Amino acid sequence: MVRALDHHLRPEVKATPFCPGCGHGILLGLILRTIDALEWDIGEMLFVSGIGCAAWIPSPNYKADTLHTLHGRAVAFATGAKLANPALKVLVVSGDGDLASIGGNHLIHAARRGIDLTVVCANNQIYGMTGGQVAPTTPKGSRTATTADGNPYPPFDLCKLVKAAGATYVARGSVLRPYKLMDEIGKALTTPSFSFVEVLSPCPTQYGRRNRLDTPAAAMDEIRDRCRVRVEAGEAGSCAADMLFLGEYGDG
Amino acid sequence: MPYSTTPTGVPAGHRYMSGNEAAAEAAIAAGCRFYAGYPITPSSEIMENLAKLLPAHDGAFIQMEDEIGSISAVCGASWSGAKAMTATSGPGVSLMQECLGYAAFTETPLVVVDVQRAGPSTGQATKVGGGDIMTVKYGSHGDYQVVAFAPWSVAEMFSLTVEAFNAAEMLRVPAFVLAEEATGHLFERVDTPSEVRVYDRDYRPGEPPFDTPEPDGVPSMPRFGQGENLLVTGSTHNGPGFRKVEDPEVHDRLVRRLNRKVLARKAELCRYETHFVEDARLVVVANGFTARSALRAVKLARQAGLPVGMLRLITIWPFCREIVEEIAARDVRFLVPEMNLGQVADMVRAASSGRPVEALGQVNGKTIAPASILQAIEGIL
Amino acid sequence: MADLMTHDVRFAGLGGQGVVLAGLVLGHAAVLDGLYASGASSYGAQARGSVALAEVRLSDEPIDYPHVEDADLLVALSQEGYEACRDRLREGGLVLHDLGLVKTADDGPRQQGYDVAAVARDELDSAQVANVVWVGVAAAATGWIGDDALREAVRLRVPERFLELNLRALEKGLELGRCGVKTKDGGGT
Repeated sequence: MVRALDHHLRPEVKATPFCPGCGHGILLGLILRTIDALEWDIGEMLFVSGIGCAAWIPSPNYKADTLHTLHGRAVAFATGAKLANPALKVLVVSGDGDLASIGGNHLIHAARRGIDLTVVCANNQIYGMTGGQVAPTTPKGSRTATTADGNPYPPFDLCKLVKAAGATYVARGSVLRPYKLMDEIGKALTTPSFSFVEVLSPCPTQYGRRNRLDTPAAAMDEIRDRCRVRVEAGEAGSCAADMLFLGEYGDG
Repeated sequence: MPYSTTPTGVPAGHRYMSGNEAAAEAAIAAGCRFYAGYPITPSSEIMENLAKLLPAHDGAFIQMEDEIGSISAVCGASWSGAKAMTATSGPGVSLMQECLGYAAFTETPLVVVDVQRAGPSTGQATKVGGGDIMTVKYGSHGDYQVVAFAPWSVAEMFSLTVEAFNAAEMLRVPAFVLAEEATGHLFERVDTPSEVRVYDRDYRPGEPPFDTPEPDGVPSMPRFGQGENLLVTGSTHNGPGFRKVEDPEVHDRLVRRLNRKVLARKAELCRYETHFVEDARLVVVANGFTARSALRAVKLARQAGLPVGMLRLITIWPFCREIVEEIAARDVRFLVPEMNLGQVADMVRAASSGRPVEALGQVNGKTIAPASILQAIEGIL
Repeated sequence: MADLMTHDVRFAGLGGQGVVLAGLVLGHAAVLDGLYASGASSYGAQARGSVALAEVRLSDEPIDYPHVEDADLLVALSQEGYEACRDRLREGGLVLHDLGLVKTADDGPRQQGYDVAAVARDELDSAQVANVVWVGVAAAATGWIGDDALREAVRLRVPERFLELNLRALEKGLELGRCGVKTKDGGGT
């Protein structure tokens, strides 16, 4: 059986390493579908990732140039790769802990500089690979391996952060709204200068299990219930503090 | 003497626990009241346990944004008066090096548990390694000393973590527990004590915090908020802490004292164990989990009549060349099994007075099996 | 080389079957019963789906070398686990395996099958607790650890909200292990 995305997947790789119910597998496919929809030659692209579950999206699955770097340093490596070879279309795919915690400084500087690269942040709001510790995107009050009594700190709004740092195109999507997300990734890829797409992706094994979301479906429902489409004309009325807005973050 | 015997504050008796859990409880027992850290396999359980234990003991815990933030916060907390620690693995120790040098140069007591995994680089994150021997001592620039202990059991993950705090406080240095994934994730019965001997931070009001009259002295350790108007700096400094970045004598005096204060106390710091070395023609030198395998192999070899013994190094830094020299006074050969390509073997060779030293290096992400060491022993004898 | 009165146990299954917890409960129970114990687990990269092993050494004396080499008892929860471990068994070693999930070699060592996965699913309404049923089966079949110590170990190792279910799973396992179930090679317990 030939699958639609086989031409982009390395034949040596038989399966993804993701847990059942993880959203990263969906994102893996959506990125490839977006590249095909844009009719881009994947051979002109470079995929850079850090350390964590999301960093295993492009590496080793994508049959393309992939650079699997150190924890938090994907954007820095990508900056160098792009500047030394501007013909490359560079896409950073990594997780929220990798990009916004240890990698936070590199992220805001690349945004400030307007380096022509696209960052897709797979946000599962926890440190998945290392066993479920708190992340800078974990909702306040959530249980994690290091916040047994509930996270005492509020999370970043990554889109606001990266926009304020100077990014040109910023959007938040989720794996539950795949077509909108493909649109957003497509726009990010085709925008010159620095673009950022945050993708909400459920982690049933680490986040879900600790927060009484006992099935992958429950983890997905939780994301659906906590997201609202951003009203371009202004913030929607009064919403719960941990509400996340989907959509593009334009100026103002 | 500022040692005291204090209740541990954690349950005593027959416990079944992992090495990482034991290290966390030992920290509380030793008086640790601050932890800043970052998740990294295979050390994260230490952090997760202290996240729960510290608030219950009026301590502070924070998961920082990365390892550099973590070790920086640990330094800050130590100067605020807390016994402070972090836990990590190879990649994290690499990141922490600049701050570890800062801690050595400012004489900031702190403890780092390095639960070694297979490297270099990201390596095999869930597999055991033993290649950080040199990293914890030479990873930062310049000349400085650290203390490092290598536990071989869950019981020693407890006792040596306590001793690491004592060494750190006594000498005002970074002290490492050079653990390994194999011990961090190992479960064993531990008979935990109800009391431990701890070194209380030695504050001698009125004395300068960064110099002593003796060339190998450890200064008084004050903290912020005592009215001392402290001047803590990573630049070269004199006794009160003023930056002296032009003065060659101040720099020379400081660097030499930082090294002498540890090396002059080697007799007290050097812990080791010998087994059957009196009549041995071959001495196996091992540390950490490898020493469990080595002891099994040595016992089997002796049952077969082979004249082999073992030296288990418990203190890795400062390196106890003296015991190697003592053993090398007789006509012996050495075999050094380790989960790296000869980091300890090279140091044994330098101290062995020309006696042959064979390195049995294994770097496949697994512990060395007793059979491999036994085979090497048989091959030599 | 086995010390006298040392028992080496290996649980082998797939990631997600709870093999690690089984080893923890057994080892902890041994310590509560006054024995010495050491335990180590290993699993593949995937949190779900690769072979997971939990090994426990039980002894009435301090344990010198904490890893299991050849086991006295192999508890196989899955076919892959069985295949990976069947050759690392001492002469005279015992294999306990899941009748529904594991097809053993006919010329294999001493073996006894139990329909644990089915019992967990049908009688306890939870496939997930098969691991704790196995702890009960292994303990009862060998007589190495006392029942009360096992119950206390489950209390200490299982989260509150699953405690009652797991205690029932343990009792079920003890019952099965004691009475025996018709086995592949025709013998009882």
